[in-house]
Amino acid sequence: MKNLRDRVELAANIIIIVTVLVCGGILISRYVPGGKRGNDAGRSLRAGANIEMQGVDWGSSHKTFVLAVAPGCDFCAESAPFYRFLSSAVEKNEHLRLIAISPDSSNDPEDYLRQIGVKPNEVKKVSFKAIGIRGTPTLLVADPKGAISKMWVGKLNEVQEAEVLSELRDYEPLVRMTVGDLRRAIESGRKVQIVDVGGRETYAEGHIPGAKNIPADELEARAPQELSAEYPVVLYCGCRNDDLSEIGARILKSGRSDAGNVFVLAGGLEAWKAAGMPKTSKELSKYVQ
Amino acid sequence: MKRSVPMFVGSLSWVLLCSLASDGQGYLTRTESNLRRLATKTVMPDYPPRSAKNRATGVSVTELEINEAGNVERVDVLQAPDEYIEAALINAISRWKFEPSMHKGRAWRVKGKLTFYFVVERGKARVMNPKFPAQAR
Repeated sequence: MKNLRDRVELAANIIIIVTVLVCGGILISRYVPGGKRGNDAGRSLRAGANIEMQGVDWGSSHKTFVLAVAPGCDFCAESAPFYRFLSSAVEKNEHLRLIAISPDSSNDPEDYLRQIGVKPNEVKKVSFKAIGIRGTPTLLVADPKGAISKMWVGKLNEVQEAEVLSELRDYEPLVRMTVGDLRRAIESGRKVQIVDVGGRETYAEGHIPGAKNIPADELEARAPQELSAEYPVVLYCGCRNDDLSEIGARILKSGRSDAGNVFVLAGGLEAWKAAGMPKTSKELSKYVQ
Repeated sequence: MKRSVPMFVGSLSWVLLCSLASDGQGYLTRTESNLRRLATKTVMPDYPPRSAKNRATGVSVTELEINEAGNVERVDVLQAPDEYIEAALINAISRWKFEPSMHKGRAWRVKGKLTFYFVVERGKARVMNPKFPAQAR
């Protein structure tokens, strides 16, 4: 009897261990970069990489949108209304360009694009495998050197569409302000609205004295009420590469008539601290004339 | 000791399985202007008299989770002038209804935020919706 119980216990232990290993494997594949979860496409082609396409002069426009579509692709057809909007918006802007690419095996990509109403500046047949595109639709934004700055794979959701639209609005780089510029502005007594676009917790951990906390995803709703259009707005975050500040600046610029009055503090909170700037409002007030 | 190890491992695997199952549902995140456009029933929060009397004013931000049918399942108050306003927010927003959010042929759970301003002007307390860029002058 005891022997049987030991065997059952051993079997249960083995089952549990196998279950844990399977769960662990699934979790790793989902959450570890390079895992297999989600759309497999675009794994080899990613933001920061260069896109190799013969006969394309990337430098001829500020930004090039590259749209990879394939006849018969359901998600391409479902996304057609947005791509139509994108192509008409790009058409009106001399700094932008849209290149549609289709697999080299496709018969008549121009005809397909006409059917879905998308009017790119150029249409090319390329080997998706060779350039690293493994699914359609894929939308890339390439800079004048052919480096991919943004990339979306699959049918875009609402947030991703907003990201693409922000690329349309902001083909000119965002205006960055250094800590020195900000310091000079404060010293001269100029009223500047400093906004921490990070989360509430990070703001509570530390922020630039006098900065208001409006998380980036709340700017659309809160900025019209809480930020004055009369004074410049300087956005910063404690994040890497000022990512959140840039997103915030684009949201803010799209809703303000004085879009030129929106700045990103280069380096954010870390740059402020590194420059030995004040940590309290009292210290900061000494700077103001 | 011999039995506690498998029990611990078993519990851990159960937690992992639950997390995998819930993650599979997924949700869409909507901007506030879009979320408000999807609302089919809205209830403005009351300005609690005690809060107005105490001059508790300012912005409130709530995060809500909406199920596939468009009903509010969870309301978290991220920021509010006081605890009475927090309660008023939860009471009102729980009664909002939304159109189901369709994507890839099915209804999705949705997460989003709602902002309200609690203002006292000339002794009069009122609750205001935010102005969105299209509405702002």
